[in-house]
Amino acid sequence: MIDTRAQILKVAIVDDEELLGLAVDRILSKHRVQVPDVGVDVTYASTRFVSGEALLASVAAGAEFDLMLLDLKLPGMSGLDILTELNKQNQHILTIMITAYATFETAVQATKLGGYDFLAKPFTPEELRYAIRRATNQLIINREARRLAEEKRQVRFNFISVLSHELKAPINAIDGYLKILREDEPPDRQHMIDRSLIRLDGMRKLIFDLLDLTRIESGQKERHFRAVDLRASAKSAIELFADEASSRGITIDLRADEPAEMQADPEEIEIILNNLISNAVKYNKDGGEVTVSVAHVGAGARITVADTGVGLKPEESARLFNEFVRIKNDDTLKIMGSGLGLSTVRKIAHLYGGEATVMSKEGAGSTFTVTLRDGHEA
Amino acid sequence: MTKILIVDDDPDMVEAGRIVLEAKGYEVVSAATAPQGLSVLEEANPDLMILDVMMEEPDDGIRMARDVRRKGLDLPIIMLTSVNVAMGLQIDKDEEMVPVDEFVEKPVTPQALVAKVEQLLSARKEA
Repeated sequence: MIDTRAQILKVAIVDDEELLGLAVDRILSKHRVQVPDVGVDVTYASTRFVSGEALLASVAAGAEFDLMLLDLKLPGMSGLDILTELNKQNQHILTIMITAYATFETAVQATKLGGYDFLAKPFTPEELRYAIRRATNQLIINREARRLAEEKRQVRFNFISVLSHELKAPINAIDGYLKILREDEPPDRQHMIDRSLIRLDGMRKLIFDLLDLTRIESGQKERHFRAVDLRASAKSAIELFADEASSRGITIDLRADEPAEMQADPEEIEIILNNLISNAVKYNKDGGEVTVSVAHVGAGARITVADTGVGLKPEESARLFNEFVRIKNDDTLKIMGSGLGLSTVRKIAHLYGGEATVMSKEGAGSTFTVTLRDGHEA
Repeated sequence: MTKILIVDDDPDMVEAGRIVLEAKGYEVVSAATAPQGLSVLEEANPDLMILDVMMEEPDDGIRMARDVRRKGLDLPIIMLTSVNVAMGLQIDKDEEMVPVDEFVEKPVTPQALVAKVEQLLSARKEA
């Protein structure tokens, strides 16, 4: 049996007809919706606005709303303008549009902007309550799904962090003994031990990558934002892989005319750059090129890493960012990797409201692009 | 000389198998993918094949075994796998679906591998 929890949903009523707003307000104040499947008992607290400008000012001042009843025809900003503006600010309020004359085009446009439902003017209290009930179910069930997904991520993180620590101990013991054994062995046996040590390192890297990934997706990682110059970060990431690259005749170029500053957590930027550059070197052909570009763009930045390596088939590009995906073929056979790096890169990009994508031509190379928006302390 | 083909996408598994089997006087050829394995099979005409169950796809070892039988080749096949334990699966030899002679869980000790190879080869000779 699920305990019933009380929840108050904050509703914004945006209508220039004050009487209508008042009537809606009165109906909602007495309205109560039960969502029995998830055991939530919902009541409503409304705020009335007579224009979109007033609503946006309130949102800008920090007001938060769960639900909005929005008249599409308003003096000043129209309902669609308001939805567009809220989208731009990444504010997602479940919206019921009120309108006397919804054309098909307006309906399509409003739905594209995230509008959830329509209420045709004039409407009866019963029609209003029905629309509210529908929207409430949607909202509460979405929240419940998010909460469960979040819980799942936490469980996964806790499990993996315990597991990682348990795995590190035996790996270190094996590593230690192998290094002692290696000293007195003839070259062919030393070679076998060296291969073992390399595979152990691969295992260690897998554990670290797994921890990074789950720490980021579970929100367990503390995030500290400050001004980060991506050009400087790229330089130090490139240095990390300089030896590996030059041993295979690969050159790494940095293209950045000026510092590329953004608000970010330096550790997260480092994970992105290290993963992309490491891949661009690993999957390159001998004597190939890696081109790293960073640039400040709008309220954020863009990182691009291009290689002249094996490239990808379209179907490989499509699943490349999934967990534990490694593209296996003759060219990649001897390359070690955990299959988690790009998945982590994409998760970080999403944390910044950005995206990680790849453009590739089989045999000619791949270009990875990560866009990021400035991060802010939660 | 008796020739053994190892098909495995992990170069270390190929090398370790090669070291063990060459020490016993076998000639070892290898391939990293199923298509490569099929072409080596035709060129080198080995007496026995050791096949990894999972290379590019979770089951391409099994599909390769079927392809080999479909070509009418009846050389002994030892299938190595770590999928049963990892995925909680129960795959076993099956004339139709998994047409192999032996199914061996990784990791396998060198002695056990050599014993399987010798057993299958001598059974073939007697037949």
